[in-house]
Amino acid sequence: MEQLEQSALIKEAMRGNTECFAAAVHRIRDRSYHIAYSYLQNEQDSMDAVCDAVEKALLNLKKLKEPEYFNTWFTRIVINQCKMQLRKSRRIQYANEEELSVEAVVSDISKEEKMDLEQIISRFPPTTRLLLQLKYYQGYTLEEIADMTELAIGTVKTKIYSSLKVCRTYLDTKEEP
Amino acid sequence: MMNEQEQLEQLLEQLPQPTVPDQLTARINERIRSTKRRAQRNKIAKRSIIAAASAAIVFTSSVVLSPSVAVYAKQIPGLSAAVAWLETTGEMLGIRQAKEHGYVPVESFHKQWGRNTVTVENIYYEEDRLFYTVTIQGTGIAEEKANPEKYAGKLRYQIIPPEFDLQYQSPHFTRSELVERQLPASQSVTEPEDVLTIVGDIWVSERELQQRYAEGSSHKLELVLERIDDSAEQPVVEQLKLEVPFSMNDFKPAHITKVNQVIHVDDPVIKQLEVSKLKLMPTRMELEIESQLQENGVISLISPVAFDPERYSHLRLEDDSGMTYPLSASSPDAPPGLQHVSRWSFIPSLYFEERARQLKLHIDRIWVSSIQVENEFALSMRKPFPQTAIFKGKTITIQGAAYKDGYLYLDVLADEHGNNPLTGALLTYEPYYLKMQQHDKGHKWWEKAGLDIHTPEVEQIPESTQQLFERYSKYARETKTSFLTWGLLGLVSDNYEMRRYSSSKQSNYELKIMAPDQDEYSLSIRRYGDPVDVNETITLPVPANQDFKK
Repeated sequence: MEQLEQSALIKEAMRGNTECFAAAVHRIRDRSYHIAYSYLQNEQDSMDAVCDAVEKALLNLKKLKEPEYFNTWFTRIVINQCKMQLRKSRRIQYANEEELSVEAVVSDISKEEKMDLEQIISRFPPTTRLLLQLKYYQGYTLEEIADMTELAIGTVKTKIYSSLKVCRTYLDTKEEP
Repeated sequence: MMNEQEQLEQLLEQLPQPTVPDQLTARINERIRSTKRRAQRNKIAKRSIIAAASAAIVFTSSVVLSPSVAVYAKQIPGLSAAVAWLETTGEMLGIRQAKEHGYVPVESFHKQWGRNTVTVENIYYEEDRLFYTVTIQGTGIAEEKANPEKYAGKLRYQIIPPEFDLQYQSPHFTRSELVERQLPASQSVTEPEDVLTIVGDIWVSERELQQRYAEGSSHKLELVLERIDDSAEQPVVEQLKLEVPFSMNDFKPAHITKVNQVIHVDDPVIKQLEVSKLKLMPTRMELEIESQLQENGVISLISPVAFDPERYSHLRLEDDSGMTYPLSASSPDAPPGLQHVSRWSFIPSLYFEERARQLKLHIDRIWVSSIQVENEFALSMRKPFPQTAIFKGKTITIQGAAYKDGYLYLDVLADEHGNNPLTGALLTYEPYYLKMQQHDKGHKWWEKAGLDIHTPEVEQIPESTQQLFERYSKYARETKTSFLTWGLLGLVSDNYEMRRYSSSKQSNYELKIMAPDQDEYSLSIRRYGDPVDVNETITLPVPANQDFKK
């Protein structure tokens, strides 16, 4: 099973082989968890979101038209589950998160106050953290990110580049190489 | 040299990721297992619901209660095997007869499970049907059955059958709770105390069964037996995998003869109706009836009124010696459309007959439904009654109307013969009817019927389908009445409480329609299980068994 292509595993899974489905999911388990964590910033919630996504994917696998796109499809489900998880947990509340700019989120920080990169990112809204995760850690293209997050490509670009701008403003220069 | 942005992007790429918790792997595996288990259970339940709305209802009522079955059962000499009791039931009549002719295609398969022995037998594969019985026998079952106060309603056994895309199961035996299951007194044989029997009767599309079990090959019938203990907070499920080897070569083929005999019906919905094929199979006989209908019609050969005492008496099959063959099952009603093929099974079979015979099919009446709205009428709660509506060219007098708990109630005057003038009609507040079809996301029959369920009026309903469904489910629970039934025209809120169905004549009839509380209504009338007299007898020649061997 190890040697099988991801799409071959999914084709088998679509025929009812849940072992193949499990193998395919485990291949993208860690990155799915990282995506969930970038959004939720909580271990238990992230695990719940990934497990919920696994359940949704298994139940809807027959609706997947092209097995080659399983990873993208699954990531989209993970993102949706994260959004639901966030609504459920209500630990972090952003009234209208989609419209909230990164500048607004860090507006209480003095420009002289320098932080490390992780600290800055942790202050960003969940969607912005997610976009950074997908772009810089997972290596997705802007088009793929727009597709997975159901955001307009222009919005994706704007959010990413404004977050980089904020990072530059507050980044402690000691962190730079 | 990297610019500032590139440096930052590189920094971002190098940031450490959080550690993935060790337990995530186990949690994912457990979620996959539980999802699969639940999906299989839901599938079984869903299939049962589908079947209950159509074919399998015929099973219990017509066959088990048929006097000819009782007479047949009494003739069977001393039965001792664990399933012998079952073979005297109506459902097994065809199988019993096939076995009497020495036709046992698969050897019984046994497996020990704790203190019980599990036996899989009576495996019969025929065209579009897979049949098997699973018996659990032993001191474990005996103890559980002897302690109903401890186990009844809390412990159940069920079989998870092989997965097929399209299948209908007879619902009454596929899962088995530990409650006493007795047959009508006329059959006098009950399940032994140390035996629990589960019967699998799966109707699958012919093509799928053939693909699954290609001819000439060795196969395994894979079943999973589950013991589910619901007494704890979380159900405890024990599973036993059963793999019964068989060869397709051991199953006898069906003998098919083309009949192509027209059934003459005078009705605008029906263009043509004919008995197209007679299939003789070792355990049953099946008639294929093809219909060509006007757009979006649907017909039924048995009364859609489930509690009609004469439900099965309008379709009879008898042979040249006068013996009547009970209807054992029928394929589910197809959604409205232009063409249908319905299948009607009768038991036992003339498959093993050595001489040519003749069958006669009597059809007294059929029932017609149509997705097309027959008529619409306005009803005003502000204007005085009586008010009127038209159905099939006749004027219907509505003597009064009232609104209560989500339903509009109409008081309809009986016709000149004391009959309900809206027999065979379905009255709806159309936006609610259409909205309810959105609840059926699986089969999407409405899509195939070309019904637009997203009209502006539907979209204006402030509640979601789920909210509407939940609100009416709550009413139904509180008033102990039925809410939605899966009928010939999709998910339907019947105008009458079927449990209170009565064929007696009255001076007026009360109908209820799912609707919002308002002053003015536009109501729709469709034909729904509208009886049409046929009174036709079709003669079907049955070739002798050896003619097929030639």
